[in-house]
Amino acid sequence: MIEQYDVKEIERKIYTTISQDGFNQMLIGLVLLGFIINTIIPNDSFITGLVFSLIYGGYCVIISIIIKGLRKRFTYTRIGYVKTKQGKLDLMLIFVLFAVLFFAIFSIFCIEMNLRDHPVRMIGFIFPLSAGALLYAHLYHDRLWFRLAAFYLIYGVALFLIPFLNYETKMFLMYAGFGIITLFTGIVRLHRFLKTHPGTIRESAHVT
Amino acid sequence: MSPKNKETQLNQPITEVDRIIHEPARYLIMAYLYVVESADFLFLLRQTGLTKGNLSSHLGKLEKAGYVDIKKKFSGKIPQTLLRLTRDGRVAFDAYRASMKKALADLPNGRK
Repeated sequence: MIEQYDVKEIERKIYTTISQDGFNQMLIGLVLLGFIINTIIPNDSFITGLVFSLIYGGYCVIISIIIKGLRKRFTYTRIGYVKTKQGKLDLMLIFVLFAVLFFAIFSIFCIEMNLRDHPVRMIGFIFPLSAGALLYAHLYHDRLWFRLAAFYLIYGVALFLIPFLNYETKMFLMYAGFGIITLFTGIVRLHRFLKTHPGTIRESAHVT
Repeated sequence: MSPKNKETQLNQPITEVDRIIHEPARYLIMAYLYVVESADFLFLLRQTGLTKGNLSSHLGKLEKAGYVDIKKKFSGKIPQTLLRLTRDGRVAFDAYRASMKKALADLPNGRK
């Protein structure tokens, strides 16, 4: 009874409610799958890097718009609309920028050290991704992201240590594995959400 | 609300506690709106477990007190009632929580 009126408990409950639709996992999964383009396009010049960035950027924007539309269609009509405070999102944005910066600096370092096509570059992707998933799990009280963080770390390091695969194959398997598993967890969550929240509810009551 | 008023509210005795917020259902509504930026009627309905009429009536009282801002709009053809805690509402909620915590902390221990 006391928990029902505890503000921190209410905040935790709200974040749990918002994240139970699985769209966050689906978005991250699709964004990770998009990195496969990077292994298909030969990354050997500024122009190809620019082409990849443009294609990938456009892909991410389209995916975000689609997910937003799906959330409006499936989530808000079932549990209602809520806009959370920006504080945590700002922290998330800072972390994403930090991760991108780390990835860029690490890539430049690898190129400078003649490690352009060396598996060590995978480390620059695995650790920020795992750390991001951990941070997300901590901020949004979502245990699934703890499991995903552990998966990213174990699967990524295992791929890194396999000796008989070349760099391109390892990168392809890493992006595909991360993306497919994250997307799959999102689909499972959405399926569960739709089962537990059947039917579309339209608002009919008004405050007078 | 001026800082002086806020200070007065924070030090108010239990007998002068804000009766608008003191009602459990209204406290719950205020608590939900306190931790988010805004929410719609359906979200509060689902989260609080109140009936439509009950929620509507309590929201009306909170709006009248100036604690909740209610905006109505249409999302396509579907009506949507957006709710947000006002600055006065946040201050009043903080003051209420502080005074209740103080009152409960000041209670003597009942055990012998």
